[in-house]
Amino acid sequence: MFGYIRPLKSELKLKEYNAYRSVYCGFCHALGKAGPFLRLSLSYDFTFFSILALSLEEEFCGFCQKRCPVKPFKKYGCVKDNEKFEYAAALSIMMLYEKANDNLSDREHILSSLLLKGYLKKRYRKAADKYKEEAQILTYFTKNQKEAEKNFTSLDSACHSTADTLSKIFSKLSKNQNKSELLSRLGYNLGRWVYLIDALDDLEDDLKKGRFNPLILRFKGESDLEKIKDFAKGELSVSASMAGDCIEALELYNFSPIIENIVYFGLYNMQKAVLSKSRKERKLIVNG
Amino acid sequence: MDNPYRILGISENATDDEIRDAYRELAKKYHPDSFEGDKEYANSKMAEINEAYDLIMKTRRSSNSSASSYADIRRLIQNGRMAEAQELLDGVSVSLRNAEWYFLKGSIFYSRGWFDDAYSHFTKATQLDPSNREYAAALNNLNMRRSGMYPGGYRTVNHTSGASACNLCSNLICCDCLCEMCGGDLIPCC
Repeated sequence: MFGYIRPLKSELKLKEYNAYRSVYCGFCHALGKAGPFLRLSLSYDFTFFSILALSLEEEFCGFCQKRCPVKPFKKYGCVKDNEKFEYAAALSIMMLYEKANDNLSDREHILSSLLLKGYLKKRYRKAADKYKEEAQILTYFTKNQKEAEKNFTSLDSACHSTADTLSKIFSKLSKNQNKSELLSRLGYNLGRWVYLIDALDDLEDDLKKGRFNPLILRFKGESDLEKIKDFAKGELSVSASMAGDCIEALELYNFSPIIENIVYFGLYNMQKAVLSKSRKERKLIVNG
Repeated sequence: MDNPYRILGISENATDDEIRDAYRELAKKYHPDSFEGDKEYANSKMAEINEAYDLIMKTRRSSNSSASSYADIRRLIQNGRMAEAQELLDGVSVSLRNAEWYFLKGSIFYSRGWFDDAYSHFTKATQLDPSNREYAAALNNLNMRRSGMYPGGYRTVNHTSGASACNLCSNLICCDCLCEMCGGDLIPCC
């Protein structure tokens, strides 16, 4: 995940914005507890995951005040430490570890990946012991991804491994079978969306450097970039709208306006930002 | 036995629904419990009607076997048994694949979240059978979602870039964030 799933700030109420920040800060603290350097891996995507996990529980653990190590002179509102944060942190450790492994097998960023792997090794083992199924899902993910990219048959089959991984992880957020099914569909559509928007974001770079990109392969021989972008925008919107359907059907106990904001506005807004012409324009759109 | 259609009092071109209605009408009339008159006559009449109805239904079902195999697949899809439905669909030889085949295959892709493949199959289905409303509706649904009109209505957002009165608060918050990053504070309450 790459930080694409975030709210559209201008559509949030102040109290919702504060609540979002509290989750963000709270999750950052949870990451710090698992390993001080892990705070650097804090992302909007995992914040979304934490909010969703929290919103599915009837009981809410409440807020507290904590100091931020980056800005230590003031206390900030935080969501209290809870098992959902711990779970999301474990997932993010396992994902980073797989990413480092993947880099090493590709012989990319060798030094940093070795350092990262060394740092995460014990923490990975601890997390993987506690969440065995999740660890397995994530290990398969990188394998499947590579295979799908090697034998590209269709755009959807290339999206499948990311989408399916998220679908499996999301479905574990609820024990209720109905909800679990909805979450699985939500995860699938969000996963497809994330994979596609990442492909769209890298489109021009990949084209220049001749790297793998599912959108380029989908339009073999097509030189009109605008046509590819238009197509990608359409596919992204379909997945986003499907994710919206799932959110509408889910019963959310807390933070529902924030989650709705992210899925109904944030995703479309990010599409716009990625399709923007310049960096400056993109920044303006992302910040709402 | 007489012509089964004549026993039920309908023409041979009658639709399945008409046959069912005619059968119900007669069964009500000749039911031994409600028939006023000779019980024996009612019983024999009832047996005759039943036999005629069964015969018609049986011949009708076997004559359009290809349509009924799709009906089975439809039922599988409706019950969410996608893997089985797909297996049956893939078993249909390429020369026999009609508009409905493409529609059903597209529906499976759709339920799986493979919208690019679903789109191409729905498109093919509507090309093969432009008058079918079901296929057109499926394609239209995807087109709506593609255009970003969905979720529509009050959920659409107008983007105003730069400073305007509409997003005054969020601009202030952004300024506040920026100030806070540098150690200052524009809005002390947040």
